[in-house]
Amino acid sequence: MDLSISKKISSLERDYILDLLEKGTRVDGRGLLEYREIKIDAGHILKSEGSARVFIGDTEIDVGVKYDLGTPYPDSPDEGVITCMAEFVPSASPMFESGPPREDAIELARVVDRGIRHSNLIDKKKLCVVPGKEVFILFVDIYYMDHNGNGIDTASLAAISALKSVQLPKLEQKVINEQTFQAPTGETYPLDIDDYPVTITFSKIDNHMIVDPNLIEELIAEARVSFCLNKNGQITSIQKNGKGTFSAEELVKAAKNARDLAPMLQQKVKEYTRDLTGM
Amino acid sequence: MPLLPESLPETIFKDDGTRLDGRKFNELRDLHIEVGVLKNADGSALVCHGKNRIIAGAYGPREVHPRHLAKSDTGILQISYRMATFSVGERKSPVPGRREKEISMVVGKAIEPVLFLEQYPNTTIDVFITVLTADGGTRCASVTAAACAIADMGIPMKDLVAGVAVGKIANRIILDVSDKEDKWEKGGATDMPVAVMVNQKQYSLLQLDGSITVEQFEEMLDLVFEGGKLVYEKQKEALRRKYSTEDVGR
Repeated sequence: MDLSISKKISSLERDYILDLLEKGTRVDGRGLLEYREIKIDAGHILKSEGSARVFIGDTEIDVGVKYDLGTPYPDSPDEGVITCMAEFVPSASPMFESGPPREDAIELARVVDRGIRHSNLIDKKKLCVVPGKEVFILFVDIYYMDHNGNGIDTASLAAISALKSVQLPKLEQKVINEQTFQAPTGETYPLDIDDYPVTITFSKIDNHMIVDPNLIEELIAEARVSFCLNKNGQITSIQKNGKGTFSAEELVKAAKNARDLAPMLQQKVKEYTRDLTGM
Repeated sequence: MPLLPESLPETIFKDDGTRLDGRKFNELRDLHIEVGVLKNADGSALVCHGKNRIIAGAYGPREVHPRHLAKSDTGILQISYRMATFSVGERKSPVPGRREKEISMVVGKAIEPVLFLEQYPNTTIDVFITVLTADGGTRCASVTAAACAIADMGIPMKDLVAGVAVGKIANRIILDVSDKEDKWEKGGATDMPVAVMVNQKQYSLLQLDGSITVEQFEEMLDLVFEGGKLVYEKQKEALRRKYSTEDVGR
């Protein structure tokens, strides 16, 4: 019964992967710090305010951004609210089950959330409709469509790409049958995000640190650590997971490698944004 | 009508460079640990870290409920981190939120490396952590408490695990950030909760929220490890206080 939901890796396959890592290469011929092919497009999300579909190798994650109107928090009456949710679609992997989000989905959403929330990435004052009364609540919803390793990097790339493409409606008050409504004027405006936070995750397999693991590498990894970096190469969030541990040297080396890799991922987001605006 | 939010102090460092509560940059808040505080639990610990008050109760290794979670080749560790409704300023909803679920998970991953779970197939070790008062750094104090509770249970461990946070407030790197310090920059502060295995020189929990350079990250890793050593000494002291044989026979 257990087999249907958790994939078992044979020791033969494990040894093969370890053997290759020893030689500085991987099952698919990549180097230890080399990503699979990355592709960002708009996907099939036609009714959202902003969206992106990101492939890293065979892993696919779709993000759509929707909005609602709600009341602001009392300590920030003129600021909107942004929330992240992740759904691991059961068709994405035999390891995913239907039902309420499990801890891995909650973690993914919270890690992505921390990455896009920090350093005033989005001017939340732009999400204000009526100060103290009505603000935009942005829902950044992450759908894990095909699970082939490295969900965190894929999801955070999709989330920032989707946010970059967001067009919010301009609203005006209308009175119909003595009731007041906020009605879209037909005009829209972007969020004007001028940063490109991206997440780079390192997986530790037997003292080797690799980026962008495929599914099998991910499953045999003892631990992973994710770094989110902004356009200035500063670390804005970190998350460690897995039952293994890291030494200080490993962490510092990973952080430096993350800083070297970030511009490549940021370039992908830039290209996607450029394609959208046609500039 | 909304309640008026709590006001923040004007400065966070005094003129002489010390912090609001008089600490230096590399000092911990008062830390007191006591083990064996719950009679029913197989192991337990109370951690008073600053104003944080956290109780952890550990049970096991015992039968897994629900059964389907049991693993035939290894035992499992289940951590439940919960905040009491009265632990924070504004009453917390009693429903476990996403934050509590995530913290339960990361605390579990912080403790797991020191256990020999493969020795207890088909069983579980359950640790229930209750935050009675929260004052910043509860996930770190929870790691400290959970490790002590498991040690109090009397099962073999490779090392203790010490939780402590390091932060960057007003561009200065400080150890063991309190709630007030964390809130002072209104979300601009950097907080890095960490768990260290002092003897193995390993980091088993690492999170960060804020904005730092790679060089600052390196500095923070070093400072937090020193903090971990201080917590580790208090943990050992607490366990010795309960299990010392010096008074026996007197």
